[in-house]
Amino acid sequence: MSNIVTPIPLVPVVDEPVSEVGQLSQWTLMRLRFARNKLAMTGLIGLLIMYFLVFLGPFVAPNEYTFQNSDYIFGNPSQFTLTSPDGQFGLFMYSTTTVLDQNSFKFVVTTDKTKALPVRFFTKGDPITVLGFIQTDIHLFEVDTPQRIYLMGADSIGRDMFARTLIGGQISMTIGLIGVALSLLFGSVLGTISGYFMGLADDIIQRIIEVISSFPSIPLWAALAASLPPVSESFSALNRYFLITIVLSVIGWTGLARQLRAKVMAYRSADFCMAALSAGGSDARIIFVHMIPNAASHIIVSAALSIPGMILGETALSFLGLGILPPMVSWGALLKDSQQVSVVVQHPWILIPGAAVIITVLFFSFLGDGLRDAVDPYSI
Amino acid sequence: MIDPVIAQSGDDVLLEVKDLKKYFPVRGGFIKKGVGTVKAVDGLNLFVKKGETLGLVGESGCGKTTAGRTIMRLMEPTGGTIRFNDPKQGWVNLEKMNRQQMRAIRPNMQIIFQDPFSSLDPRMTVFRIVSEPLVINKVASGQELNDRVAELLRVVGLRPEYMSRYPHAFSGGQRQRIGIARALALNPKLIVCDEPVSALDVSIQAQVINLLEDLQHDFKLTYLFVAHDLSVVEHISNRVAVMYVGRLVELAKTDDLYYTPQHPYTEALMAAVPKPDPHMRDRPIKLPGEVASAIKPPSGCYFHPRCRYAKDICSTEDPPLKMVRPEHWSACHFAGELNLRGIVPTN
Amino acid sequence: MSETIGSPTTTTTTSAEIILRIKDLHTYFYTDIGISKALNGVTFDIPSRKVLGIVGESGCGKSVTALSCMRLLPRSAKIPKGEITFFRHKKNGNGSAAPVEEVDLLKLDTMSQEIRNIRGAELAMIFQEPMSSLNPSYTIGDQIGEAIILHQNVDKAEAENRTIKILDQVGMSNPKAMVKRFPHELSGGMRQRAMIAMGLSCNPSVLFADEPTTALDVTTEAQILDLMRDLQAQLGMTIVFITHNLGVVAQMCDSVAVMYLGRIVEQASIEPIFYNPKHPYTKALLNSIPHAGSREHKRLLPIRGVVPDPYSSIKGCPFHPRCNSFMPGKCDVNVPATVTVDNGHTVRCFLYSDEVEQQ
Repeated sequence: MSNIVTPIPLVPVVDEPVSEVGQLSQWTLMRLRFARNKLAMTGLIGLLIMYFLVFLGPFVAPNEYTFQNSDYIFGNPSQFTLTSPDGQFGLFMYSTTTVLDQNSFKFVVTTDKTKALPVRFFTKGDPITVLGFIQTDIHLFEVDTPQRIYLMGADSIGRDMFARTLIGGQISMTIGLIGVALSLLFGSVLGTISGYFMGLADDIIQRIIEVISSFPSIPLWAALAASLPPVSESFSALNRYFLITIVLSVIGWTGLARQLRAKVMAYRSADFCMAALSAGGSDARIIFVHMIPNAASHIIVSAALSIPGMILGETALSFLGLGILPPMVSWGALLKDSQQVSVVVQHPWILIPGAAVIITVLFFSFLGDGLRDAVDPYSI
Repeated sequence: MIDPVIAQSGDDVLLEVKDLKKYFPVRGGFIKKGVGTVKAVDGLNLFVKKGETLGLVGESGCGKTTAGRTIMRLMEPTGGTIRFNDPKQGWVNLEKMNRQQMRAIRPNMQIIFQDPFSSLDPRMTVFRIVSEPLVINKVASGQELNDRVAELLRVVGLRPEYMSRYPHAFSGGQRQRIGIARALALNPKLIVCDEPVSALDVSIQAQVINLLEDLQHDFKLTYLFVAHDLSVVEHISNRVAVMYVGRLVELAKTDDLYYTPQHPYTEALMAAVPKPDPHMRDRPIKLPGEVASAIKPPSGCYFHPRCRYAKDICSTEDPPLKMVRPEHWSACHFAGELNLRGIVPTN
Repeated sequence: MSETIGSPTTTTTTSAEIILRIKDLHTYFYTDIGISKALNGVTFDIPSRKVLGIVGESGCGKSVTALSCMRLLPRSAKIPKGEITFFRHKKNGNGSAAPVEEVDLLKLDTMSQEIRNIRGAELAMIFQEPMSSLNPSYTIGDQIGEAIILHQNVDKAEAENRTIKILDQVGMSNPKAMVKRFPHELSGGMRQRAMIAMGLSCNPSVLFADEPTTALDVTTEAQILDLMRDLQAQLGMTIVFITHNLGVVAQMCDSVAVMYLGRIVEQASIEPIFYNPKHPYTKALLNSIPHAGSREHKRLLPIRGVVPDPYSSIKGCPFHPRCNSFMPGKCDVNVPATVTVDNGHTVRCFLYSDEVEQQ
């Protein structure tokens, strides 16, 4: 086959300027464009920090998240000072005492500004398991017992809200990712089939998508979640967690499938796919070598943009008591405590997990918008 | 029915298309039922001789691009025959072949696209783009593949050093050269050139036209040159076929067709060509109405509602393709009887 | 000022024959990547009641020149230098000695009432893609009628009458029905006619036509060109016809300005441009295109290289890297000045004069 004889003076080599950016792949160009977007980088770095904190949660938090301190029910967030009452410099926490309020017959935590305890770093505390396998009792920071640090106060049975928010983040911040991954799987398989083969398969898939996306999502999620069995001996909380991600992705995949179908249909008639076809390329080659890599960036963008929806979905379900159930914690489950207005008014720190949801969703939105701008091929 | 008079299965012929049809369903309504068909190609007859350039011209929507792609089986024909004179297998009917059989034929027929931007996969390097046909057909690998790609790039006038770059680094003309290198990779016999220069600037058009001419000479290529620019087609083609609403209306040697056309539509086209010579100023031939719809074409000759020579027979009977003189066919009832003007104004 | 003394554009023509005088016009675009110098000192006169062609490859600045005259440039564009003088003939009274008012278009605010009065009524522009200037949600009649009401102070009924008359003029069959149609209901050729009708609605003195036929099929293109020629003769307007197609120029124009990289390199009447071109770029353009209808099948002579991108700066004559007559030490050092080589034939090239453009 390789018998092209090059005739010597065929065409003079054209000396045209070839752009230096030409050596960079589309992915590299996208990365460069993304890195220029300050808001998107804020989102990315913010999320990285949050994931880091959340997964090292037991180590970062001074208390074990299930530890109940009956002396610290609805206790305030701890207060800190840089000078101790006796004039020393350093980081100190004011000590607290719990007294019974004679009028309301409630225990009230009061801060005693005359006494301060030094904050110690990397010291022993409650035994914990970090990342699921590291057994340790070293915490990032602590004060000497019997006093404890409560950065975000305590809940109705005296558990550390800071520790619980971090542990809850492990669920809330991964459920979106796993849900989107599942959506991606359903969406890309069905979207590609729909767009590439068209015909009857396309018609059926499109009608299914239309039916699913015509349901209001929260009631559908609620109905599906309500049909899951309660946590028991045979049905662990972890099982429930995975089933909830599936519930979330049942709705999530439709948008992705539609976008992918549109992309695949556009690429189907694109000249570069025609060229592969005319060279004898198979369907599999055209789909996997040409269509998927080209659609990949768009898939990533729509995935990133659909994560916030999933996080909010989980929060809503758990808030309603239909999602994550004890003993597991998620931000939605933590917010369940704030259903009573009187509690929120007296102990506003109960709402802190809600702030975590807002920050995470915002960061994911920044990231998604940045990715979307970065994959736009018409800007350099 | 057009009488398929053009039947030339001689040894000097490479491709013969008879009564080729490509219909697209028009879908609409609630359940997306077919509500009609666009007859994009509706009984096309033509043949391409070995080593020649056959220009296929017509106005937008006449079906010339669809015809080119259907001939290559990049689209499935609705009807008709496409016979290809394969160097190994002899005459084969492409419309009867399955995918596997087509794969053995494909290396001999390749395509060059109009849009130098959408025709190259933006995620692949030039090396991967040009080598793809060789990889798919397992022609070469490793160092040999590298050498072939370098050679192909040199052949089309690009530096082999650029093979690790991505298409976005190149200008329109350079990208078109990359597309040409890819089409040449398998040593094809026939190349369908689908408007290969119409997206390029004037000065770059000339570079690419010259390259195509040189390659044809050096590699004994046959071109089916699909274009709407009649000046370029006159320059590059040996023979020209004119299409109107999915059908062939005239086929002849370039000079015969341009200077002594035998179909009133060709006459109107020729009068309309903007000649780059102020002494050849020209009044166009008035064409009343619009180009006929490919969904509901008129009865009889599709051109009759706009034709200034139309008689009663034109609205009732399909004109057959007539051989007016050797190698000159026209689908007009009065072909040979009318005194039509060519591209040069006659005062 | 880059204007050289003795340049014909300022001395040999009088304002009676000129409708627009463009002097040393610079238009820059400020973008993320840098400053794109679209126009680098464009100087030429637009003769009155004639068809002037502006030719050049994409990116040479031909559309920007027209948009600068219309003051329709996008926000990212600035005009740091230049003059555009419009010789405004008062339309009231048919006296032969109508007073001529000189308006410097660049001195007007782009949002001012005065430029709006001039735009549409005196200077009109039509584009390659009619759909971009026709509003899809209004009928053809509404859109043309609106322009008439805006500029001519007539009532609705009269505006509709005039609209029908104009549509008839641009060769629309059944103009009474056409006024009720929406743009998407028309074919490409009909849309282009509707846009020409809109451009002509207020009987402008100058019509800028930016590639008005490039998107059209060849037979439709021929009809539109024929129509524009007829209307020009009938109404005595000035047409500035922007195109890259030398065939269209030959068919359409009385004189031609050839542009390359933001400068006019040659200007002359139509015949010298085609039969006796002076600038190497004009010659190269003519040699690079197939000459339909010439019966000769010469090999084309391409221009080597590509049009450089507008962000780069080239020292000396911008065409020298691609020029066949390149003289080292001369062309790559200075920019040649515009000189007259023949009556009304100007060229910017060191082959004809050593005069250097003053910065």
